[in-house]
Amino acid sequence: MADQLAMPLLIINMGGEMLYILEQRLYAQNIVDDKSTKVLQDVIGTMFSPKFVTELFRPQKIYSNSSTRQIFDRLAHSSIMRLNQSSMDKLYDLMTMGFKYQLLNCHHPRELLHVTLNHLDNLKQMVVGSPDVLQLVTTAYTQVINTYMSLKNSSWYVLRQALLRFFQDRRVKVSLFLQDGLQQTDGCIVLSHQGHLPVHGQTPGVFRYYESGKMVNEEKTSPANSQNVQPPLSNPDPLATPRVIQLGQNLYAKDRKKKEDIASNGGSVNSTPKKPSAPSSAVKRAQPAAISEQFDIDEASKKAAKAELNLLADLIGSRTENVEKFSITNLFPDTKANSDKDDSATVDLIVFDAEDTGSRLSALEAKLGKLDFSEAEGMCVNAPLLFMLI
Amino acid sequence: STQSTWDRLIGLLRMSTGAKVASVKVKTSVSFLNNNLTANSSNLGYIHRSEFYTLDNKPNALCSEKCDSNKGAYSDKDPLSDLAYLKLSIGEVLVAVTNLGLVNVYDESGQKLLQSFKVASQGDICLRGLSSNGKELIFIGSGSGEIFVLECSNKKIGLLSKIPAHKTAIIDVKYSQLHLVSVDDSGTVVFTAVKPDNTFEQVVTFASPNDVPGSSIAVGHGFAAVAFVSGLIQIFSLDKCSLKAEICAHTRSINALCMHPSQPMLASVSDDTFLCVYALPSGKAQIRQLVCEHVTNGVLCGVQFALKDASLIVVSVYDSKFLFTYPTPK
Repeated sequence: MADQLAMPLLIINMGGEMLYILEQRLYAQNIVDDKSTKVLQDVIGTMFSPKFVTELFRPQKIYSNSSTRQIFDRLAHSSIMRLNQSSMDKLYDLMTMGFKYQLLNCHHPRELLHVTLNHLDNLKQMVVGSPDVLQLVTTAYTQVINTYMSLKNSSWYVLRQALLRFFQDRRVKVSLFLQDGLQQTDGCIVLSHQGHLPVHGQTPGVFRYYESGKMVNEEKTSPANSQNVQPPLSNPDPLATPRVIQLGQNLYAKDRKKKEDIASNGGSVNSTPKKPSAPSSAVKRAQPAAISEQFDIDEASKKAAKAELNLLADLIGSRTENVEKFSITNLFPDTKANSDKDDSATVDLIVFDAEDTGSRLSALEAKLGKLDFSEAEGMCVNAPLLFMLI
Repeated sequence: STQSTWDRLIGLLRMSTGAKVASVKVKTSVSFLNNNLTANSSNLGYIHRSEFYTLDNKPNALCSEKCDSNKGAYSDKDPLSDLAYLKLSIGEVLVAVTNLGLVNVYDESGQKLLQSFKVASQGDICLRGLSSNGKELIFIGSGSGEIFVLECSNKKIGLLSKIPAHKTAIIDVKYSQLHLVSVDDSGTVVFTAVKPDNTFEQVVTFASPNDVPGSSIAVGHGFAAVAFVSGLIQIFSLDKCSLKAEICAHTRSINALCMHPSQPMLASVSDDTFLCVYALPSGKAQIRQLVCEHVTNGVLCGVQFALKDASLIVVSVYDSKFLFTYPTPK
């Protein structure tokens, strides 16, 4: 059954989004380069360890949301970095919405292969300085090609259906997506009929008439959904470079690039950005749409997740057993709950703004002044490492 | 009557606002499945994960901001793969099927299980495509390419026969005018004649040249409309089992079709967010497009002509707790 091949697509693509976000947030929080690099290399190395990849590619039913979350909890903490619960929650929500956006915007389910390979290409770039980890990613890349390249169209539709079922009722607003017009204010991912047609697609508005198996007449009209439509891509080969499908590229990289452009052009990093920045101090409870309350993890789900736990999660070890770790108390600073108790059906907003230097400074102040050494098990703080963060 | 007063009021409201697409909030979101909205004269039904929900097919439900939907009496964990209202000799029933081969027959409200049958299989059998001959037969497509024919009466339900219609998984099956029309995931369309003694004979097969999966079938008014994931609709004549026309309808996969109960009118919905409605060929008149409307930002996965006079089109959307409505064109 094709839907038993959904797990690698889910983990690799969501994992790719996680690495994009971590890379950007580590940079935004002024974590020194060698520590950032180590975090990324460790997480990528763990994600593509041979045992994990072997188990991942074994045909199996797609994991539940809670079990998948546990995999990423372990992956995120397989490095020297420690994240608190709130940061991990937001990170997971961002990863979810990122891949959900890509999944919904594929014009044909086979484009998911392009998306996956785009993620892997970018992960290779992140670990280019570590030949061992690079080899692991390359091996996984090959396995993706071998597994998915020859799948039939129908299998891709089954895979898409399985993944959409996984993401059903997951809706969190992301300020970056809202700003870029990728998401509506109710949390819906923006879809469009426009752009290139899928393979074997035809521009709407054509009517053909047949008699005895032969076409006898053809009529062309211009309905609304025929506007701004391009022919199917001529070379949708996922191995061709540059890849024609851009979904799966790093959506968060442009924020960093914008800041670097401002800096390199002699502009102040405090200059007013061209687009209005997302409001600070905001996890805003907004208009009703759907549905995060359905995914509050209840006790039954937790037990089920533990029981299912989770051959993949068990295979995630740590590459940093004897290494000093550092914690990030708030991966997404300047977001605080602003709950409106009268509003029962709400969609969270995650503010993602790499250009807010104020938030970076306050994040550093928070680390120095408000450290709580009594946080959950697994949190480990080391003073000298903190001084290195300044 | 109260009902006609309601209809007039709703019509006036719509005209005054100029808005055509409206929405009604239901209890749970709609799952992504082809043809995920079914209707009869009294109810609508849809699948949400491993559950199904029914709601009233009436103006006071569909033309308000919010309506009550009732959870159906299905309690297994196996995800539902298809749901359809069918007319049988025993009355109107709601049939739900699963990937593991379970066939449950409920009363119209979906609250009472009338019959249950398990298709024997090793592993997933992927039942998809539901239809009936209006009497005692239920036709169900399967992942093996066979059409299962079940005989259902008040007292029992059992497997009558299996029709080896396809070589790959069937996506949809519909019955009309003594023919079964079925499409599979390679795009092959098969016409099978249903004889008076309930035996079956394959009439003709239309192979897809491009391996483009089929997605939905609607039958009525002498036609069988078959939709594909490329956005194409093929219109076949049921009398001659021959291809009459093709409509390039959408820019993405078509997920559901519905035939108007009394007029030669066909509705289609797609991943491209559009609802299209066509007047089918009638006499010398060719196909005319009556509606091409962006419904909402979402993958549209079900469409039905609703209300007693089929004056309202209802559309279901993946991941949305709203059903969207549109007035049926005249």
